[in-house]
Amino acid sequence: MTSRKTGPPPVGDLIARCLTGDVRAFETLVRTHHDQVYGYACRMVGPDAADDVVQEVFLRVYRSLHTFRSESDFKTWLYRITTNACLDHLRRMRRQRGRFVPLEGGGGHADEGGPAWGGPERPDPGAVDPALRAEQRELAEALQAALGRLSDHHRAVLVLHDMYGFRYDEIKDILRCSLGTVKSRLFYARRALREQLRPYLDAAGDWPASGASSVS
Amino acid sequence: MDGQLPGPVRARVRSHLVRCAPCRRELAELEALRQLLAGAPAPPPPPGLAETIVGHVRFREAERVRRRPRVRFWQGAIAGGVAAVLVVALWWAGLDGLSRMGHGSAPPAVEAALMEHSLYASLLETGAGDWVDWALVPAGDGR
Repeated sequence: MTSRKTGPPPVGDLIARCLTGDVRAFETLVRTHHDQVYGYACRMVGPDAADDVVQEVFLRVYRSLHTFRSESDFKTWLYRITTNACLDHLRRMRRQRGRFVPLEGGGGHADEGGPAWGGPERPDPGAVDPALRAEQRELAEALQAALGRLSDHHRAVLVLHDMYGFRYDEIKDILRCSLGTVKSRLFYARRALREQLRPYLDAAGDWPASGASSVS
Repeated sequence: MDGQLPGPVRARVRSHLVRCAPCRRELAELEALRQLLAGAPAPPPPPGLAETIVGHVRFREAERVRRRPRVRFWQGAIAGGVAAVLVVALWWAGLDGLSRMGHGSAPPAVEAALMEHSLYASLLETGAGDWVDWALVPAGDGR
């Protein structure tokens, strides 16, 4: 996170500098956005493949910076590239394996005694409790498994809307589909996920550690 | 739930929910699911991922630039080869035209001279002729 005083420069400026060959500008672009891209890629392809996909995403970003129109929204453009890279990866895996591709990952980047990849990023007093951490891990794994059982496009719509807060019209632009398709995919995705996560849903719908940071 | 319904439709839905318990239950479940998803902690990237990304992009771009001159060389070689073939073909066509002129389209005296010249050239090359009075004739064909 950057402070108000030394926040990242505007994206348009960064891109203009990147196009002149300014490597530092590209590094700033990566540092500003790579965590969100990684989180989305994790939801789409699983933590084991997310590293490779994210590298591919930013390679595509670098090579297509000259096509970005300053009047369009950078976040939408970035997530479109990320979605396409994720879908390409999943298609490639299916061609190789010829069947359903599970998205569950291993411990990811967890250290011994540290949170699983689905746990809170920042230290949380509630997360010190091992039982709580185990509960969080179980729910995170159940969520990832449930997401993996959705079709790729259903998963994309659900994650973009319910986890990353994109509007219907933004998702329509990201996925290059109609508004009706966004709505119907979201409907079916929620219905499927609700059945699989029913044991974890309580009246409030809170995670075991309430006050954990939300996905932006 | 997503705030996408037009006003009149939303009012009808709300009115229905007042009377329908199953629909209220379903809405509550969907709201709980949405809160669960919105509250899901973001998977943190591994340490050093940003540096890895930048390094990967720089490497791939350097590879792409390094391969570019090799493509240009082959393009030049192919273009040069095509040009050379064209030159040779034109030259050959020119020769062929000239030789066609020498075999059938020239006056008889010229043709006879050309044929004698050809015979003379073949005797010189093969060594099959004899010199008689400073003239080269086929072997055994004394004049």
